[in-house]
Amino acid sequence: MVSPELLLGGLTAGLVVGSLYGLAALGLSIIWGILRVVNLSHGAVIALSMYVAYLLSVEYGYPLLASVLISIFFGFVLGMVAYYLFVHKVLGGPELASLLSTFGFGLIILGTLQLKFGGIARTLPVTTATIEVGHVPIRMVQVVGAVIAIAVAIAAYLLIYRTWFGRAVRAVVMNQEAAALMGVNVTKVLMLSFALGLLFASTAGTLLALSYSFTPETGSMYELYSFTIVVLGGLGNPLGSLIGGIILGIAEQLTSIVASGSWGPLVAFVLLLVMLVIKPTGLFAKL
Amino acid sequence: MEAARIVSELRKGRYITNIIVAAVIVLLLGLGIGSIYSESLAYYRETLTTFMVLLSVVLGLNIILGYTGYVSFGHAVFFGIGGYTAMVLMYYYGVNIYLAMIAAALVAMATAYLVGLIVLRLRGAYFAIATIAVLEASRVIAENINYLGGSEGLQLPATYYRGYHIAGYSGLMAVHYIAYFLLVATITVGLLLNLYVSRSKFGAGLRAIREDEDAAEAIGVDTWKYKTLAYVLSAIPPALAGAVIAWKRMIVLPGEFFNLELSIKAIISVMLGGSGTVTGTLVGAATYHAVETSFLTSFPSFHLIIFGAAIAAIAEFLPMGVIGWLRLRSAKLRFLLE
Repeated sequence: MVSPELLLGGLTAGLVVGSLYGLAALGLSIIWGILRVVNLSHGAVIALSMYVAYLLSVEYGYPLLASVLISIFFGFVLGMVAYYLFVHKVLGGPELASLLSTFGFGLIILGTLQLKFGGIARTLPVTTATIEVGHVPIRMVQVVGAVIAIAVAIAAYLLIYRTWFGRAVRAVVMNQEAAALMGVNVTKVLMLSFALGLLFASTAGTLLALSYSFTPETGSMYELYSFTIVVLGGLGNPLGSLIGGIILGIAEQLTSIVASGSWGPLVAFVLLLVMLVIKPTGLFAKL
Repeated sequence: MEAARIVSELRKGRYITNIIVAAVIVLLLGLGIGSIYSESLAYYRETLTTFMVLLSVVLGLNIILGYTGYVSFGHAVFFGIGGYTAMVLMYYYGVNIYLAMIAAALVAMATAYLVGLIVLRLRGAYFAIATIAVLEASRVIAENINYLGGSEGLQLPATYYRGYHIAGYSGLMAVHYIAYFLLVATITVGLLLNLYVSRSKFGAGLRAIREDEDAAEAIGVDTWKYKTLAYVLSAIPPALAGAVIAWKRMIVLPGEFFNLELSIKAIISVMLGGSGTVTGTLVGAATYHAVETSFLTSFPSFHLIIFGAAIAAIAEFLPMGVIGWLRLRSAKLRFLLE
């Protein structure tokens, strides 16, 4: 039987790690909701941001904070370039074309990471200070990461619903031709949205790298989690992604406590399948 | 007159496809027989074994992705289910490979039916993602259940192979040859299934679903029945191949049998050849296999990068595949290439 303290610990750990999952999912969700492209390079971008932070802080000896900030911003720049190289030409085409071209982009990243770093697990040099909630240890960096993740998700919500750019984005989602006629530069909106999606992915990746070790393949697990959360939280909805992420995080942590750690990922898949069947539009409203 | 001409061209096309398919099977058989008598052909036997594993998934995938338009991203799950079913029967009950293959196909079909009840409600990217989840979930289940060997997998003892003989070889010596011929049989089954789908009213219904599912429903295609049957049939070739490979390697491992990469390779091959064509499956799988083996030997560390660039380039510049492109370019080829 699970004691109340352990339950509280599991809930807290789930909340903390789940908000990071939510931020990662937000990157996938925004691109899917706005460009109608399922970005299969999502996991690779998450992994890439981890290694950018690693390269700068460990191999080049930059201060950790600077490395983290650069690796976060790197996602945005990469997104702007990748949009023109891999996404622009397949927009509006068959779904399979965009799935394949973004997957190809992901393989290029993955191949580069494997070439440079191999399969050995790496970590960032971070303080290991922990707090303990109900016998479940939670690292301080995770708490900081969770706070940042929640702040970014709220900022994304404000960006989409409270700014001129957000209005242009919503106009493009509703009707591209009409938006273009009203003077919205559709290509630019789509390009920036893609870059924004990669920015959220790289932010989540960098923050996750602070608390967990990683290999080039690590990203693929977060990619599957992101799919689950997007389906759970609804497309393009920042707060939906955040809440979906927290639900998944808690479900995963509680499963690890009740059963064993290796069953954790199965929760995500089962949750995903159940959600797809009962409510594929997600728990929360669309963008 | 025009209609009569088209019918005669279509007939000619079917005739040519029959010859191509028969020639491929005869060539594969010939090489297998040759390799028994000449050790210098052993390399080709092994590389063709790898090729046929890919082709088996491609032939299954072509039915659901090519003809029906459902992007199954996790199609290798049926390879895994086939492999694990066969291994459980061989390991715990000493069943021979031939019966194990049949059981593998039946279990995979039943699984496809049950999984289809869930995933075939979904369309487009949602279906694609659900199939990835099914694949990954199967892997996690295989890793965590002791009966299936957990992450260590199940391994057959060498003594299991005592009863197998072929052309003077026996036991473990015979396995490579027998496995090769069983894969040729698998490919034959897969090609026949694709020919059937390509030429039947059933296949016409699947194409209607691919073009517009709601319209297909409206004109009286029982879309649910059609796509379920397509999904069930598409599980057969990969399941048979999975059983053969489990037997040949003597071991099943979760990561190797529930392998997303194999699924992706199959999608690329289908795309490369031209989805929804019979000859396209052969062209796509052969091209992919040739490119992969040559890159792997000449640029082992760069292959993922080159791979990725190639996939993106195909998606952006050749979305119909080689056969699709040829058919689009020439009215004559449109009818001749099936």
